[in-house]
Amino acid sequence: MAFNELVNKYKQRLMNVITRMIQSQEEAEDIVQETFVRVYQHRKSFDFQHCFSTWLYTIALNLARNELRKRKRFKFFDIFDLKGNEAEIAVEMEIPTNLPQVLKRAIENLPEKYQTAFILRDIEELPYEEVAKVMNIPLGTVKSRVNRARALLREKLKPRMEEYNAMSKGTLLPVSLL
Amino acid sequence: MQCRKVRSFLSAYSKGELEEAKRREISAHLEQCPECRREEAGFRDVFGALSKLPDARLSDDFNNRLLNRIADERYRETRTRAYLPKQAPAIGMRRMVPVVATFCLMLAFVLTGGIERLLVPDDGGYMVAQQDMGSGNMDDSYLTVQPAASRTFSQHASKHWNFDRQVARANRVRGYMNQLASSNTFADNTTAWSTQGKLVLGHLGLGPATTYRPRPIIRTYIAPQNDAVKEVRQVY
Repeated sequence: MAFNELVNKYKQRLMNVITRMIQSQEEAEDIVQETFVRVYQHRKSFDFQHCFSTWLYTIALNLARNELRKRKRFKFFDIFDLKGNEAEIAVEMEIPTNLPQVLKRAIENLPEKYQTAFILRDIEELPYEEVAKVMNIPLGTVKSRVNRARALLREKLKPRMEEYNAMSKGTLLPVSLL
Repeated sequence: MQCRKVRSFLSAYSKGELEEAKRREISAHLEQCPECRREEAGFRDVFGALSKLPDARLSDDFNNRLLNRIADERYRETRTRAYLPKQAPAIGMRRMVPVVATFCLMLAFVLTGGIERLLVPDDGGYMVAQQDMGSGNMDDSYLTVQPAASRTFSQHASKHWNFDRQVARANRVRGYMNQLASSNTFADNTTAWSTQGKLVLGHLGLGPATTYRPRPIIRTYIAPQNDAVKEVRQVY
């Protein structure tokens, strides 16, 4: 299979995974590029007995994890934090309003191990076995992590969800609320 | 089935991951338990929202940039040693030639005893007795150092020297000196000197007592071989 085809087939999926882990779009894109470059570099050492996508996801996740670790090491201080000018911060920060945004923010804020399992399983729809291989953990652990992540998300989304459901029923809302 | 147990399966249930028997069990419980139903609805909402989650945006030139990077990678791979032109070594043989030549010259200089020649000045006054140079013995030549044969020193150092001879010679020389001093030699040339424009008081007619005689210095050399006397006159 030509390399270009591989890229076209997997780039969107990888991008989805990495963007959920790393908020910045440019950085996520860099990581996806780096993943493909690594694949190219090590194309000769790949064992075709294994699943290609597993390999790809493993590389991408390792890179993303490295990036996150690097970020932890260099903590950036926001100048607004130092000023303590809360009014400006409120303007700067986009407060999520619609449901996908709320969900996105909630996923970003999940603990890393739950987050990875959840993204691979529920966003990428990989089978549990493959998630276990990618993350290099037992199948049972994957299942419990995914379950835990779903529960956490539901807890976080519950208030918003009720609000959203009420909003979506639109006509039933009193005019004063709009 | 207890609510707590059911709830651990709820997410998988709403996702449709459960096997048939389990699924039926859970749905039977849900029909009776409104609390669990609400929980289940929460999961359903989450999955619903997830399905509406938009794909991450990829920039348009993603493929181009990636292919450029791959091309770079390819170039780097092919740029192996065999393909590269041979690089000149940092220290080439040609550059070492003068260094090696200098070193050889220095070595030759040391081996031929150049340093000793420098350290012991060959001023003719002293000469190191050269004995046993090739045998590798320790150099004790300083014990046998002798004055070199020079004209002035060898007079005294010669084995024919004796005191009486020396005194006799000194007397002889003194005799010559007295002879020279008592002779009229000094006055002879006074007129000649005056004609040379020198101040000669005798010309004023004040008599010989007041005559100023410029004093010549006569250096007398005595040849050691035959005691011949040589005089050199100089006027100051």
